[in-house]
Amino acid sequence: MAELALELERVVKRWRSGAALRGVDVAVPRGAVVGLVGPSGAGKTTAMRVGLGLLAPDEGTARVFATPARAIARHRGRVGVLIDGPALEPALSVLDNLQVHALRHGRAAPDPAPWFERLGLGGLARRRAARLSQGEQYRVALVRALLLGPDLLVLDEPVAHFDPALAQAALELVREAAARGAATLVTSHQLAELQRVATHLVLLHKGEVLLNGALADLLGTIAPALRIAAGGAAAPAKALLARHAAVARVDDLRADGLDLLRVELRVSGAEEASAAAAAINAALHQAGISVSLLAPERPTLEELFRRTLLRAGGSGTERPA
Amino acid sequence: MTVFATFRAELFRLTRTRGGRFGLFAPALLGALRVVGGTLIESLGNARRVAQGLKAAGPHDLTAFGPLADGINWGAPVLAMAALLIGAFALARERDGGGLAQLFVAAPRGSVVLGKLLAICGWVVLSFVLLFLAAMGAAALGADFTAHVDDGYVAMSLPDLWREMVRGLVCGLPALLCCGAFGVMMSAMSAGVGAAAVATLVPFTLLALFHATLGALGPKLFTTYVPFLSDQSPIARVAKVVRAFNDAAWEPGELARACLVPGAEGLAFLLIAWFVTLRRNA
Repeated sequence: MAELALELERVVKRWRSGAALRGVDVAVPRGAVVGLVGPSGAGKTTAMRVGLGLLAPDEGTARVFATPARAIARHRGRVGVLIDGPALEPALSVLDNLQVHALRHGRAAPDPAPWFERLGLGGLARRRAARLSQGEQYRVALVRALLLGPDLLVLDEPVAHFDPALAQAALELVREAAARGAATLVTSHQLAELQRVATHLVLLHKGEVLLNGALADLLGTIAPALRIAAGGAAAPAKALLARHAAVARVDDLRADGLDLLRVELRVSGAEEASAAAAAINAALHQAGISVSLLAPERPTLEELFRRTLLRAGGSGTERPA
Repeated sequence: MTVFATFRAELFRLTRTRGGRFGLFAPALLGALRVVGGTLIESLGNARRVAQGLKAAGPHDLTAFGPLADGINWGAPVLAMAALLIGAFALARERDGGGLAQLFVAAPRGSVVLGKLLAICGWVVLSFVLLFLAAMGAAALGADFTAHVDDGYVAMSLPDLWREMVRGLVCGLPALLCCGAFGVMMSAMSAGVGAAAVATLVPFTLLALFHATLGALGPKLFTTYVPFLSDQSPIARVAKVVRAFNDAAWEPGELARACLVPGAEGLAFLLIAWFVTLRRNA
């Protein structure tokens, strides 16, 4: 297994109002992007703060590069952080903010122009941070986190204030950092964007870990599903499918003006799903129902999130904020 | 190493922000204005006397050392207040703005506290030097830096005057640095900027105004205080010393006390700030 850059082991953190973390395990190996998701108040930021040594856990241990998290400054220059908001010095220019960051780490600030270009910050280098919009401040804070080429990135909602294109550009930077071996722990409520970049996932709910593992494995636990458009025969198709042995559940969907059926299969694995899809297609054809669309549904992080919370007793409508 | 890195970053920050620059130059400006204003008021007084048919009065100061000390005496309280506020903001502002994580990832907490305090001290010394130079320049406009000669009698030679001036200022400087340490301590203990500012300025001013309530302990403790709050301050007393007033002389042990007491108090403030920062969640 790759070296662990950040590790929480059975971490418990209690506030006066109750436990914020209940035996949380998180491991962030080098080269991995670990998405930390969960509804509001799940304990994501608290877990990050414990991992960075900013909060002392009541039980359990937090380690950064195999040393206690409380001594994280030993690894200065190796850890890039975006937590508690952009935290820029409002009276300083963008460049001076980056200079202060580099000086604190005892390093010379590299030229930030390439990051500025990719994040649309060109022309803002000499502007005071107080005069930047919130989105611009977050972009500068992301550049600051990446500036010294860290081996560990801890990013709390880095793209919450970005439009989709910017969010994609920002997460691409995270992916590049991971490609050169950096470990990343990131929270985001933009699950679709997060799914593109995350290699691992930790789902927190009320301070407990509900899911923890490689994202591909976790998504593989979602029952395969098909999307079927049956022209004007949606109702008979639905009735037929509900009786089919390979079908676990049928839901109505409406997308792009089409009456769609979402068909959840009672099988696991790609091959079985493929065989089931063929059988369903044949059954519909035999019943004289014309099928204009039959496509496998890619399992999504959003679906995984919803189902896991439903199983945990939530409504499944919680937002991953 | 981490202390030095924090020191450099903080000094960079303090000298690049508008507030930091204003605090750097405001004492110098005020000191120079005091010197120029004093000369101007004296000239106006003489003009009025001449207009009234009276003989113009002789110059109030025979040398430029008196106005120089007056200028510094006016600028130093502003510098003390600025040092208190900058100290008060040191950690509280980071706490308010979410910047503590950035600080504590870059350096151990002890290094952060010490580095910030050293940067504030560096800033205070820089501002004090500017104050000195500005007051000196303004004083040189109205009089010369010469020996104090009264009716042909050399009350103080030029080297004596410079020595007393430098002794008074050097011994007054630790009190100003101690103001920064007091602010940092309050900053470490406060929840936010507003609370830190109030917790720094109010107790400091009240204690200074009512230092007599401390009895015999008062003069010993209040060597740390700024000129306008205590005439025990070497910076306040040097104005009399360089004017060769009959009753003006350093008391035995006064200057040593003026260095040691703020030094000890500053160290105590630093240790408290250190301890609180280590114990506190960020």
